[in-house]
Amino acid sequence: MTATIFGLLPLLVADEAPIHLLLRKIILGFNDVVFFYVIFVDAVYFVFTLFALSEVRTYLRSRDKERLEQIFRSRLVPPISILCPAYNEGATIVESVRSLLRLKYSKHEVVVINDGSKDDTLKYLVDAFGMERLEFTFENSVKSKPVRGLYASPRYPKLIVVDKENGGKADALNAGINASRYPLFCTVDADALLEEDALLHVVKPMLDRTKFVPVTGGIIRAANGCRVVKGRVESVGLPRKPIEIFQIVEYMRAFLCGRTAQSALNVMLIVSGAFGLFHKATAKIVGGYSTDTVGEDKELVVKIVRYLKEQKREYEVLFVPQTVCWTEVPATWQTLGRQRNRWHRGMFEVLLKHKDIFFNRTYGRVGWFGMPYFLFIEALGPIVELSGYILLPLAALLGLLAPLNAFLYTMCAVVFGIILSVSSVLLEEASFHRYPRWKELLTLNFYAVIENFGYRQLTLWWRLRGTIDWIRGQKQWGAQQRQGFGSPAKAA
Amino acid sequence: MSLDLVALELVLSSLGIALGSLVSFMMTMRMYREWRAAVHVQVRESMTGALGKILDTDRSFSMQDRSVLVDGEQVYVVPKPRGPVGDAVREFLVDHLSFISGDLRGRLVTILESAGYVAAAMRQLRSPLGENRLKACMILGGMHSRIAIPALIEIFNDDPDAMVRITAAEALGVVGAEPAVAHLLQALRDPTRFQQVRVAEVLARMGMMAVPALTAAVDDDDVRMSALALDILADIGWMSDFDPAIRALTHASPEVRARAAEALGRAGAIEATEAVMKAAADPAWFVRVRVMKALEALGAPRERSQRARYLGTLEQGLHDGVWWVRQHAAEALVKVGEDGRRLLARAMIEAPDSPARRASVSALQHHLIASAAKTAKTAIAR
Repeated sequence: MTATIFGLLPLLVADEAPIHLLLRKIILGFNDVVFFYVIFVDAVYFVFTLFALSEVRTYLRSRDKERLEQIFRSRLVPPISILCPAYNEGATIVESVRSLLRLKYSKHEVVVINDGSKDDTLKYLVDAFGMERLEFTFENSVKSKPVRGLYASPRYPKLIVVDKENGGKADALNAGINASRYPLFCTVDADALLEEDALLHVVKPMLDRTKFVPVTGGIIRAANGCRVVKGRVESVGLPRKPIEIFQIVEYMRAFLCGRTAQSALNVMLIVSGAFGLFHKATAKIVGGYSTDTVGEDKELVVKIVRYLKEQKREYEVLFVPQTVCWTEVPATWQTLGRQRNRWHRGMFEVLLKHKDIFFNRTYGRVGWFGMPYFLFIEALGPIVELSGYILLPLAALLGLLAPLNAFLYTMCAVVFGIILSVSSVLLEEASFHRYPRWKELLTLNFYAVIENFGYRQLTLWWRLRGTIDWIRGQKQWGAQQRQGFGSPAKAA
Repeated sequence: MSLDLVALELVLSSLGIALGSLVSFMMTMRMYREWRAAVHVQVRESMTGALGKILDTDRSFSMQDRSVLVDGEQVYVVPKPRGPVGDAVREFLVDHLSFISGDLRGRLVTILESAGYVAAAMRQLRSPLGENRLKACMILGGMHSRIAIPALIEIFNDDPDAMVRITAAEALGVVGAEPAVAHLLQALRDPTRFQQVRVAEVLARMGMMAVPALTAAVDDDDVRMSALALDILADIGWMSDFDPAIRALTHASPEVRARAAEALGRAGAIEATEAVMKAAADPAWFVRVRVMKALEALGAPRERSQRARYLGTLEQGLHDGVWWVRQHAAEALVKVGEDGRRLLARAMIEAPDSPARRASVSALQHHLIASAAKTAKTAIAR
């Protein structure tokens, strides 16, 4: 695109021929579009931040008074099946399962789905937990690849292992849905570390609302830099690599501000694949996870919301502003780029698959705000914003715009971005206060400021690449290298 | 200078000011938090020293206004119930209250009462803000002071906020006030599951005190109410007056029938075995599941003819149309002992319908794994 624009340069500098006037108009017109777009997006994010502030405040107030742990020892709360798909996770699987078995809840089971791993994932599990192969009978209510065997252990009655042929994460989760026994299921990545009281917090909205709550999610944080002992985050700390700290601030912004606000407006359409709690019967009705997309986690929520809207049922998809899950975020630029590329492709796939929701009266708020938000702000954002970065200075250079004005305008946009980032750090400090040292607070603030110079643009670039790859029709996941949890020194 | 430029500059500078205030607000908040934490640590240190003397059973204890006297000697002056210091003192005492019982608990409650902490919380009950009233109810519940009972009952009856009312009932239950049972049962009619669970948990903790009212509630017209009452009774593990629960086995609602079977099983009501066995012919599958589970929990009767009927019921369950019922029937049979397992083995070989065979296989397999593990464990122990 840049090349084309520079190709136009001589034309523009020349005298005022009609064609030049037209081109000038196009550039100026586009500038206007970018101008209003940025203002609009900032306004939306600002409103989100305000909603998040009030939501987190109310949440924290009620939380202190609930004695959740005592209450959830009661048998009156619905039991939960935890689905944990594992593909070549031999190195960490035993530790992860142990931490899942240890969760605080009155009744839960852990269903590990070995998705045709090429390493010894299954063998590790069988050895560590004394699992035995069983005759199995369960209903195949959602489609999945053939199951090779079902394993249980007398010593760990809460644990079930499903061994199946490889079919991808969505397929593994479907097999898990079939094999699970309880009315609610919770999906957990094999490499995610859950807080011990995670289930208590995410199940609560399903019980304390008068409306039906089919899906809930919670905050996911980057575990990089934390001290992890026996599958549990012992002490929270910041990693040394800037790329990881950027992501910590980014996750704060996305989860603490973004998702909380979307939940308050009841337009939430994303529940992270790393941790989400679902009402099983509803998930089954919509056919479980789709195997033909890389954004299967988003897609399931959209399907459920869509189904409930079509049935004209009152519902709420809720997000709990409480940390439930820690996950290792990519520590190299390359893997991070690939991850963002995949997320973005997934988003486009979901949007295209459900394009009839847009501005459709049946779907109410989701059709008029939820989906358009994802299309115009999340999905198309990179295209508009990046072209703005090119066109605004260009227009100023060509004398179409006063350079000082252009500079000041850009500064306004950047400072506003900084305010949003800093607000999310402030929200974190006021609410959960997970980073107790002064140095950490200052570092987070520093990164909240500088992420607007470079990192933000880089993620935009990756997302743009994702858009291009989606148009070209790529489907593969892109491998992610894991460095494994260990001492923070190892990460550094 | 153009108007645009002025406007932009204005916007930019106000954004800058906003950013600056955000950051300074954050820093102030952090400093306040650290100061509060320091206060808490100080209070805890100073109180821990005195607590040993206060809780010494050999020495007499009395209060004079805010000073604590042990054997007539002043050991501690309780700070006024105000500000962060007051909060820290209250939290410290309430924390200890939860794991101290009897006479010693009385001493801590006396401290809270005569130093004015209970009175302060009761003043908060009259706050116009629902949030404050709710907090006060929680605090009063934690302080276990019986002085507050009338005020809490008043709140339960008159407060406009439903959450506050339920919290008041909960506080009454925690304090252990007899009249609370009726209020809690009323609060159990709340529309959300979460509040019901909260209240049910308090009732279950009240134990035997709540049993008469709960057994009466089993006969309630509201189906949800009788189901919940049965659930709570099962949690308490009540020991007499099973009649309402036995009657509930023939209730019109399958939900209630299922709960009744489960409650009787969990309470170990052996005298109800006959009635539970009759319920095995229930039309609703989930009732039959609970019946099988209950029979497993109740165990096989000793008396010969009854035992035969018991085994017959389970064998029928083995041929049930629903997988879940078969599975539980098979599991119950494993637990019966030798004759149960023989029955299973026979079903495994002879059963004409393959599902019954499969349930038997799976149950026996589980049993074999378990007994193998047990043998291995004893071998290791030797």
